[in-house]
Amino acid sequence: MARRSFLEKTLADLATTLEHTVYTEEIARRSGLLQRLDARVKVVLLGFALLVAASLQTALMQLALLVLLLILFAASRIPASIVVRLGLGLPVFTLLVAVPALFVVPGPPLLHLPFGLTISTTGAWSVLTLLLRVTTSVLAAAALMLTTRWSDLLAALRTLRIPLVFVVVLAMAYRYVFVLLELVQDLLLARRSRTLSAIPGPEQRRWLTTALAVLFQRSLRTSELVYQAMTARGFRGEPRTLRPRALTEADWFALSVGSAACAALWLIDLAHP
Amino acid sequence: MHIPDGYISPATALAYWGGILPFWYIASQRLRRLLVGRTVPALALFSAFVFVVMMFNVPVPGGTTAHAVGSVLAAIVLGPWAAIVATSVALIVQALFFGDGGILAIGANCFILGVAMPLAGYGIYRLLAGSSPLESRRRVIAAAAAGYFGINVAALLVGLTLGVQPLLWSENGRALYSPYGLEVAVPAMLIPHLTVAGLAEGIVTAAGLTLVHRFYPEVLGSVPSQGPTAARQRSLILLITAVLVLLTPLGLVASGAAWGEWSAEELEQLVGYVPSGLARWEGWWRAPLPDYSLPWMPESASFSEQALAYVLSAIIGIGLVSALIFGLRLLLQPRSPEDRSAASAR
Repeated sequence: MARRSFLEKTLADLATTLEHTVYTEEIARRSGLLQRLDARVKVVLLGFALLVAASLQTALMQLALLVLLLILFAASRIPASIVVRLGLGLPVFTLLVAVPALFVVPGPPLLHLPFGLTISTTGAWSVLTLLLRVTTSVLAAAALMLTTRWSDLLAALRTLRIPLVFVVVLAMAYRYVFVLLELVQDLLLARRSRTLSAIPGPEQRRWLTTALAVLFQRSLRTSELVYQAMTARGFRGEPRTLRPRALTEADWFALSVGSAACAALWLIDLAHP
Repeated sequence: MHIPDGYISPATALAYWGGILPFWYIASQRLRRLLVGRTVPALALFSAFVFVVMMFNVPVPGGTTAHAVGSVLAAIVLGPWAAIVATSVALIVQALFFGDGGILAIGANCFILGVAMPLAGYGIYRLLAGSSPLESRRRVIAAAAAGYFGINVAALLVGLTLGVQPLLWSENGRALYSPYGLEVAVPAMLIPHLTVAGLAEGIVTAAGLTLVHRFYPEVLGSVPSQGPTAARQRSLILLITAVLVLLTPLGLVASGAAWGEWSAEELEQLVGYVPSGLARWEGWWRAPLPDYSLPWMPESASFSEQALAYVLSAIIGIGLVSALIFGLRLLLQPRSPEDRSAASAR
């Protein structure tokens, strides 16, 4: 088969996105450690963990945080395949981006390669630090998103005093992202099914512009229809949200233990010059 | 274009949060009254549109792909404040659900793509479009230029943000975050955007505007084509200045920080050169440094003391930025009685 065209690439991207979301909701419904916690607790803890992940200077503490996160993943019954996929996505991209730093950053030589290239110790440490940092950050973020249902997360954001207009737009945008994704997928599929040979670049770009235009037009029209539907159902700018439930003892316990663990990692790291 | 977590230091990320929060606050205040009208679905759909636009991989000569953003188009069609919300929401959904851009870096990404880009683009659009009629060719060209300019401003900001990381946060010459200096990061971001992605953005913006003109002129009715533009332009210039000033926390946060206190000579030893940008930065930020770092920070300060100073300086940076923006808001506040009525009629 020839090189994948941008049509197929975009199509595959869209399919992955949709599939990913459906799968995420499925994991969020399983019974596990993180799934049992309140979304607000998870948002706060995740924020803290991300800050700590970004602040840790020593590779040892970064590894400790990574192990901690992996334990959380296991306790929340998140399949190992997801961990592998997460660990291979952004971190591998980071590695690709950062690899030249091995040679570019000056420092004491670690390894001599052919063509006069030298890997410096400083460069290797830079790349390793960045890689560990990106991996822990990705896992921390994924721990929240995989185990929290979208509606719970929105309610949590609302109780954390995020302005109403943001939460409402966020809720609606999230829903319509999938409507638009499906529309694009249909457009691409229709195009693909009528294609026999490779499409030249200019033709691809021309088609792409049309597709974007259709998408845009459709967005505008849908927004008008949605508005009419909302008015017809009596919307007056006061969307009703479910009352958030009170935090249970397990939530408070998790909040204190989680914060303590993060703080401990951070302090040990600070004391370790 | 999206900065992932781990590429920037927490101080940089927090400084950007400090920069974005006032904009979000003002935007939500301005849009609150519109929560009743058609703006909410329009915002949501635009947000979804921006999201999907960022998924389109435009084939680029040379084998790779680039993507457009669409936030300048949102600014032209919905107005700058609504564009801030629409783009931010798209970026937040991307960060939360699809790992595109970091969570700690949401502040940075929303500031760069959701505030700096649409405001810079919108400024150019208003400047070039002037008071030309809504359906004129001049507006389409202005929109294309605005898209091109906006995405390049964003690319430059990303390049600067990543590029200052190794200069400000290194340990024994080892970069703790993004490992490339300004001389690599800025061209790496700017070259593809000046050539290809900028064009894509310009085409998306101009085509989008043409479509709205042709099929939904009533949507654009709210963009005042004539009227008291002088005051608006002044406030826009102020906003763009604010965007530029907002870059400063990067330097300010670092100036008091324990690991960022090198002189140019020290840096030359560490990195092997003195970037010309740094030489200027250093001279610029010397002044505030002794004020709060000398009294409590002897050379032999312990690690926790240094860390405290580090956190404190981050807070000071954020506080200064927020104060600046709130001051700006006070300046902008009295301007818009007829502007508001126009907006709420939307």
